[in-house]
Amino acid sequence: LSSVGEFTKGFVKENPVFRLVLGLCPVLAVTTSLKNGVGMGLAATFVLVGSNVIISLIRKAVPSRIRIPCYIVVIASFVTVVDLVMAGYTPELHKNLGLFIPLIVVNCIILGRAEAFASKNTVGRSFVDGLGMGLGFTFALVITASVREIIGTGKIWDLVLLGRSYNPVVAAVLSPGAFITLGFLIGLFNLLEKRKA
Amino acid sequence: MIRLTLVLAAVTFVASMALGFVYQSTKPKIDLQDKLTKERARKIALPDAACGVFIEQEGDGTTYYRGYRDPDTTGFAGYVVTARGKGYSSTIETVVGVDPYGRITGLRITSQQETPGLGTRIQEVLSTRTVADAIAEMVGRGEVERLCVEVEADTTMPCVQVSLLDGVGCEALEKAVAERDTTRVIELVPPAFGISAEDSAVYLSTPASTFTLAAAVIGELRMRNTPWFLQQFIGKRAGNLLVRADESDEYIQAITGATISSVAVTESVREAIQNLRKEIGGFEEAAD
Repeated sequence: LSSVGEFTKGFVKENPVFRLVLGLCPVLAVTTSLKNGVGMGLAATFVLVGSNVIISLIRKAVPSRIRIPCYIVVIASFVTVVDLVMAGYTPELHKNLGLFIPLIVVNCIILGRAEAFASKNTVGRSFVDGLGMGLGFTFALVITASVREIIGTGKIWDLVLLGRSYNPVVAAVLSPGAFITLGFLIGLFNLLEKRKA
Repeated sequence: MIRLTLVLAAVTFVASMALGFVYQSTKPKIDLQDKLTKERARKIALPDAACGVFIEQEGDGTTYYRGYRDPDTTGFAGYVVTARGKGYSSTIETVVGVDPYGRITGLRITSQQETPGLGTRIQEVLSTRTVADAIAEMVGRGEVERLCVEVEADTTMPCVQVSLLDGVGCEALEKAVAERDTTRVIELVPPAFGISAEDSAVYLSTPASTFTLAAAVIGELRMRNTPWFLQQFIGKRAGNLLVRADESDEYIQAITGATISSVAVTESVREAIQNLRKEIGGFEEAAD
């Protein structure tokens, strides 16, 4: 794939959430509002890009037998950086995302890209892959969060969208709403892919 | 084997050095945020206190805060103490305000890492940002709250129902308040707060009464923004706190994160107030 192809594949063709069905835990949990979705998406993107670059840099020096512990140390370090920076500079978002920031360590998209891509490719290509996949993940979070927030509260990013007369469907921002919305969106992406083929 | 060990040690060493640097860089900011959170919590827990002093205790003693209504440390308002209880997956830290008679005046959870969707809902709020919040942000919440305290002393004005504005109205009001355009604020406030024209003639006859109205709304907001779980504490003494209202075979109470979190807060608040009572030698007797 060209660099452009590497970058864009994460948005639709190999979207980690809608096509690969990976990293669903934060998708289901934090997409109650667009702000949370964007925050989580950008945090995961930073970790993906950083860990992809470092893992690609050290890939030849790390023996195969200890590669997974080394990758985890690198990923956990980036997650800790995100956690500390968010706690200091965006305390409200840090409070809202709570436990899901440390849980980025076990997000299978991150380790998946490290093992499947960064450990076999150059730094430049790994950077582009991390950025594309991270933004693809953010894209999925943004769509899911937007649908849930609009239906569940009638608002988006504190902006009243559906007027005062709208009666919010609160279930959309609760757990069942997350599963239902995600199911419909995965179905929609499958449909689009089928039509394309 | 030695090579494997050395490589792993090198990776962890570099990672720890980098994290040490980030920790040192962010620590002042995190400490500041922590301090601000605790100050905000103290104001909510003991709203009548304008200032106060920390009474530090050595050893196992309970450290508490004595709040005063006036800046010259006169007019004793009550105490603030921190409660800590073991929840489902974290230690829940709660700041509790108590008046001189031992009645809880307010409380705020300052730290918890409970299960998202269950335990974290102990902090759930009923309303989101409203236009009254916007007014408070523009003119300064402290100023509005000070006005609220002043006017409540000599007015019987009822709290008005807070209603959300649509986006356009909200922006217009925010702009008017930012520009200190009192005439425009008076035009916008009645529809914003859902009050009638006759009432508005009474409430909004002067610029001062406009802010009085805003102050009343803030007073109501303070209650509405108190998490539903915490409402049960207001006005209670430590001995009145209930862990569970009743037990019944028909209504089986499931063990959930929320139950465990709630019980942890209740128990820790009770214990903190009991410790405070011991420290100060008992509360004053209320006339009622």
